[in-house]
Amino acid sequence: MELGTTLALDVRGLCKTFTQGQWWQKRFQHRVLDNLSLKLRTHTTVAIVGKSGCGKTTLAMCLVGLERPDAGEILLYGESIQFTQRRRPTTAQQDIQLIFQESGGALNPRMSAIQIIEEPLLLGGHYARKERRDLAESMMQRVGISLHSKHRLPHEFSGGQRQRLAIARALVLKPRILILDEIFAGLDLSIQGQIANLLLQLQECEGLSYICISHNLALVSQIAHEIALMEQGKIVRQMSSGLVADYLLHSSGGEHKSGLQPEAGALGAYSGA
Amino acid sequence: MKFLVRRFLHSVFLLMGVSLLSFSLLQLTPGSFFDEMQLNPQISRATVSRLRAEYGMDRPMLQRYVCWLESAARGDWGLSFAYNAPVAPLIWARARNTLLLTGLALPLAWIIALPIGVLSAGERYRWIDRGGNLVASVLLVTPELLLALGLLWLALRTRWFPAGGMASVVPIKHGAAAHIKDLVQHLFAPVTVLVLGSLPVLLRHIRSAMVDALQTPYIKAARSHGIPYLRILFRHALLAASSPLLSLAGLSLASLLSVSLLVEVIMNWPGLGPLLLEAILARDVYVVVGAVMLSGLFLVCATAVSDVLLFIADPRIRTEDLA
Amino acid sequence: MRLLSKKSLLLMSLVAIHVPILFSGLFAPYDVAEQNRDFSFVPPSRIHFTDAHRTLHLRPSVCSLENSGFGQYHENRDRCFPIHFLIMGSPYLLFGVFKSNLHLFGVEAPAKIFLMGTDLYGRDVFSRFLYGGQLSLLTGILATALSLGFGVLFGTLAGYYGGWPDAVIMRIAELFLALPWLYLLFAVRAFLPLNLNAAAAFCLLVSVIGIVGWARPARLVRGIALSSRERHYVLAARLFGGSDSYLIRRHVLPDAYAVIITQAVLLIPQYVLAEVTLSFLGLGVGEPTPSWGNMLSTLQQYQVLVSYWWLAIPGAVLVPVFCSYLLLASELQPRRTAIDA
Repeated sequence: MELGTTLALDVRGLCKTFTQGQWWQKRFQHRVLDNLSLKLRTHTTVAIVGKSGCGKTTLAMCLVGLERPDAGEILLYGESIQFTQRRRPTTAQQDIQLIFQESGGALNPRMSAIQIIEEPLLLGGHYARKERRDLAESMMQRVGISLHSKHRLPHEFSGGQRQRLAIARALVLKPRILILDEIFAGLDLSIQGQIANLLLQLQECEGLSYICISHNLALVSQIAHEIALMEQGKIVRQMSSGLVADYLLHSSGGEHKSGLQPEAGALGAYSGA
Repeated sequence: MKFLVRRFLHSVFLLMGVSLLSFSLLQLTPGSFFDEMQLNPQISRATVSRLRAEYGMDRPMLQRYVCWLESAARGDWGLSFAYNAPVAPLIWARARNTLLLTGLALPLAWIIALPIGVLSAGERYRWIDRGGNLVASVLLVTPELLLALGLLWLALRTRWFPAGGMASVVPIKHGAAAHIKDLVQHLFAPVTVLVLGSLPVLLRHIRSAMVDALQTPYIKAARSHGIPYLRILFRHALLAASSPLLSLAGLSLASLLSVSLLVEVIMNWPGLGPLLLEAILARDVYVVVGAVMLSGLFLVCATAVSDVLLFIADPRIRTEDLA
Repeated sequence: MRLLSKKSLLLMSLVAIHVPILFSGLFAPYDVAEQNRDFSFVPPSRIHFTDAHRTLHLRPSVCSLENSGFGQYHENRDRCFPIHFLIMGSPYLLFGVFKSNLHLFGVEAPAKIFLMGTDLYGRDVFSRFLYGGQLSLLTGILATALSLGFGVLFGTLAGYYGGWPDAVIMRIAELFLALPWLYLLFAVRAFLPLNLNAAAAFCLLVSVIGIVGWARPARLVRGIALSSRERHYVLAARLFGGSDSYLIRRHVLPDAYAVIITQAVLLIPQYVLAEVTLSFLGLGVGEPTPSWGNMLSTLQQYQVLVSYWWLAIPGAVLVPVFCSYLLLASELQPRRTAIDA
């Protein structure tokens, strides 16, 4: 596939510090994002790989507007995103959607599959009832869930199907960038492969850009074009995925490796994906 | 110690808040003691307004509150209109009797509930559990009001124990022993109601805390080591269940105080209950505020004691505190 | 036996308690204020299926009473009057709106039927018990609605927004929880007017009991809102542009429904008891309007307590009321389902 040349997302000097403790207590400053910069071209997948606690999820939250960065700038297709004081994403940010880790908690257990997929349409656009239903149903089929099960509740689906539902819900508003936060965690190897295939297919048809967050380097290097290594709130290196193996072999400091374990089995399983 | 100091400051703050709350409610009061006095033709208007000024009722609320705080600090807790005396000694004389009731009922209830609760958790679904559960359910659905009336009826019918009051009207014998015997006889009915009233809640909590404790892996391990079952129940599991139970002990005083209020009125026990009721009917507001504050103080003390016990019993809080 | 399953028994008992009280005008044979000064403290009427000649009749009857002085009554077995069903009697307002004079049962004029005896003024305790139940239960239900309303509102605000609203609301809730509830009830009641007509006293009782109890449900709901606002599906809905009110309505409150319903069922009997207690002590609704509490308050006189047991019936009925509400609560207790897993 041909990679895009324009920048979909350009993150410049993002900083975020969390403060622990109330005003009468001793405070702890915890710098989660430290002058972080990241570039994402259109039709591209960038994988952000790092140890747990290095700020990956905070980065995702900042990108979609659920957290407000202290400093820095996010350019979406060349336009800067304004951050509002409230914890509410701006309309521009609806172009970026997030798929959460552990899909079980990402779907309301009281809503049926079709209701879940319709929700963004209800909130984000002005659609008639019928139109909403049609869009949601077609999206459900796109991600490979049969319409027979549209009235089922999330706990009646398998883990992989739930992840498909989450993808359908994120895509129904037609975003251009999708952030995948540890979406492979807790899934079987074969299911991981199916989901990865689905994502690649969707990227092909819809022209999406992905930011894929994971701690499993081997897995994401199968679907990512570029790999960004993240450490203590910074992107320490962004490179083409072909160079990762070399980098790991030759990098002098051993500390990257502890967080990024290439799993032999995973590498083998996805050679076809 | 940080844990205890924090708790102490918190309770002081709570009491201040309670007093402020009652004073803001006081502000809403439509009538007052003096309004009713004004209706009496024998008292002149001038006297009423002089009295009103004397008691500081003509001043704004905040000023009155500050005055009250000063008097509380002096140990007076304001002036009672009806008795024309400082509130504190008035309340204290009655509060002692309330404390006697609840102070007896609280340990008694625990002494009865603890072995039954522990054993019914240990012997789940056996006869002791079922029996305990049945008794607890029956007591749970019987309001204390009914229990008190029933006991009173029994006392009046059978004359087994005195019906109401704190002492016999005609003292039969002199001497400390006779007095104590008389007091114990009078204590029987109200304490029984209080104990029976608090039993069901205690039983349920003890049982569920123990069931949780018995399911922890280390209790299972202890059983596999061959430690005698009763020893496991009463030493290991009870100790493990002690944290929720200690906080329950503080809280159980709250319901006990409430019930005691009612029982005292029904059984003519000269405690806070009748005093508070009279004060409400006579609009003697400072007595009401004083009694309510005192009940808050009791509860704060009870939670403080249970906190200290918790601190002693739970090594985790201690180490957290040192860190 | 489907009919005798636990659930249907529970349902039947709830219906048996509430329907006669709801339609008290229909079920009560007399008006609450109707006095029979010659018949004070009459024990419950005996219902006969035989007449003076010991012949059996299908239609039950009551015999006329004769006052033999000194509070003693005896039945005149020669003058028996059959009990009629669905007869016309004193007029009343059903639900306070519909005029009617139909009564479920009654006897002809000279005789009187007192299913639960009479009180000092010779008023029918059964009729007063039904009307009093209306007041007591309604107080419980309305006060529950009030305190749950406040509790859910403030609990959701505190839990959902966190930060300073949370701190302020929860500190105030702590004040309400810092006192034993009866003391708190008394304290609030103490500062409100004492001598009121029935309607005003009723409204006052409802608001006092309701407001005093808001803190506990508020705490519960806050805990739920606090955990559910961090759920991923709530964050996702926020990403799609859901407003705070939408998120609370659609995602946060449904998490709390089960707890709110259980709380309601637990609070109603508690608040009925609060009404009974306050009226018993003379701080609630006063005579001549009946309520279970003020009907019981005559029992504070030892002589009444010992001699006239039937006056304790309004208190004894609290036991089945409590029983059925508590059973209902345990039926409604949310079970661990796959949804929670």
